[in-house]
Amino acid sequence: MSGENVDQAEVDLRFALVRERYGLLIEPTAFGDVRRRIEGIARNGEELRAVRLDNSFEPFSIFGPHRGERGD
Amino acid sequence: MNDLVFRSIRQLSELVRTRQVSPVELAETFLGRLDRIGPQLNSVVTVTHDRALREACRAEEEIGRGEYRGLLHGIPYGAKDLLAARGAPTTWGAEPLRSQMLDYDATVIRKLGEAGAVLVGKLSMVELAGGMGYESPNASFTGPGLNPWDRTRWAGGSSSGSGAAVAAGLAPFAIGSETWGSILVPASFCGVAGLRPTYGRVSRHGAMALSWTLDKLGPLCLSADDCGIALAGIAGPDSHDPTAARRFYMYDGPVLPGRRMKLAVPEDAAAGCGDPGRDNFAAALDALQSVADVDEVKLPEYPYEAVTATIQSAESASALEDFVHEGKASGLTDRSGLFGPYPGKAVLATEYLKAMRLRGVIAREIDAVLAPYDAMAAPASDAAPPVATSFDRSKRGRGDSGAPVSAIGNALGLPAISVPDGFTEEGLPTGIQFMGRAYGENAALAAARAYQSLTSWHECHPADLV
Repeated sequence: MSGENVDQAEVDLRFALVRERYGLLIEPTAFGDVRRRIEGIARNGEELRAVRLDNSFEPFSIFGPHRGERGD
Repeated sequence: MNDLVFRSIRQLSELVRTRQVSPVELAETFLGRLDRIGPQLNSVVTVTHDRALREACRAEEEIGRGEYRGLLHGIPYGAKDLLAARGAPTTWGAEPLRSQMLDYDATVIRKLGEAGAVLVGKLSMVELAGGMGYESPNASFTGPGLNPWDRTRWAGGSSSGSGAAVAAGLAPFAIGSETWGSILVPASFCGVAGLRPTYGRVSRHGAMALSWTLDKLGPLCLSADDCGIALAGIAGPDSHDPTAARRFYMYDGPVLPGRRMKLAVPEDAAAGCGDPGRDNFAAALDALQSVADVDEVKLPEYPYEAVTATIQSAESASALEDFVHEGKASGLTDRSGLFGPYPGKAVLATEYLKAMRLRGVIAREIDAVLAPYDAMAAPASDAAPPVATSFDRSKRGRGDSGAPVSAIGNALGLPAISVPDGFTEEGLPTGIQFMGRAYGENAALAAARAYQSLTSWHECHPADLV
């Protein structure tokens, strides 16, 4: 995935969050790979935000309350 | 050639039913090939000798008593090693889980056992079904899955062993899983039939979870007809899996519909393919004209790959969180284990929810596109099998697995089957997929059977393994 056309400030913010939380678990040599993938994630987010949806469109997986029957 | 190898389930079952071949003889044939050829292809994790012979003996006794259970009775099969099977390790392809023992049978294993099928092996796979975003085919503790048609090439992922084992005649059929391409791509690369059922058609109880709303289990076989037979053995409701649909499945093959079929082909369906894939797809469509009306259709414009990728990233980051936090990811084979778990943590909740909302919109619009047709045809993969030792997945375009149809089909949980549609100049298989509406497996299978009735690609097998 290319990071071209992705808002780099947003990528910086997301990368900073991941580095802050998980930096000790990540090999320093792999930070570039993490950032590259975060660029892809940010680009996906931009593409999703570009589509306008009516307010009433719900997530496709609709939560259903559970009531156990016969010991379920 | 051992004349039991490269026979369809339907052919083998007739031999078993009429007691011309015993289930024990069948099991021993395929156990021997798994032992001998499996390691050459890195396609096997565990050959389940004891269990296979126990199940085969039982099948033989039952059939001898006239208690024939059906087409899968006494038929050997292999299972991707993300399926729990009592008595054998369930490794998920991952070095840190080499010794993981799950002391129960996944529902598909249980159902196949009840149908009388015989588990002969647990088959290799890309570690964690590709959950770290592997960048090299060498992403399993069993080594890169090698292609029976050319052992320098990749078998595809993540159901590498399932595709290779069927193509190499190590099992008449195998069970694989698909989150995004993991059945159709190995089927295409290995020149076999691979069926991705509708989401929820097959229980996932006992299967590793990578992405709860994308994961599907399905068969890889020598023909589309065999995929229907195998699906009938594993489909159905399951109280252990709340996502399993409360629908029963009945395969309606092998007879073809007595009418012309209607197929849709997306505009530029083969645009992302290399020459051999594009040419073979065009030839397949030409062949299909004799049995089907083929219409070009325009797909509505949505960011299909962003939807599927966002859902998969967020869900897999959560599904594998404990594995990662226990420090196990660094023990994976592919270097993506060093960094792959973490980018998914950067998916925003609003992005995941937007993808899920778009999923509903897209589901309705694509269903409307598909409704007038038996199936939609498209290339199964954008590329021929790459060289196993040098392929860098990080440099591939987004959606190397038949985009955008693969992204649509997986996001929407639609059934699709890949069957071979020719070879490259180097003798490597390519595939065509037929995707149906939700719960439309029989229509997709009928289209694939119709194609296979016109062609003989599925009757080709690697010369050194015949």
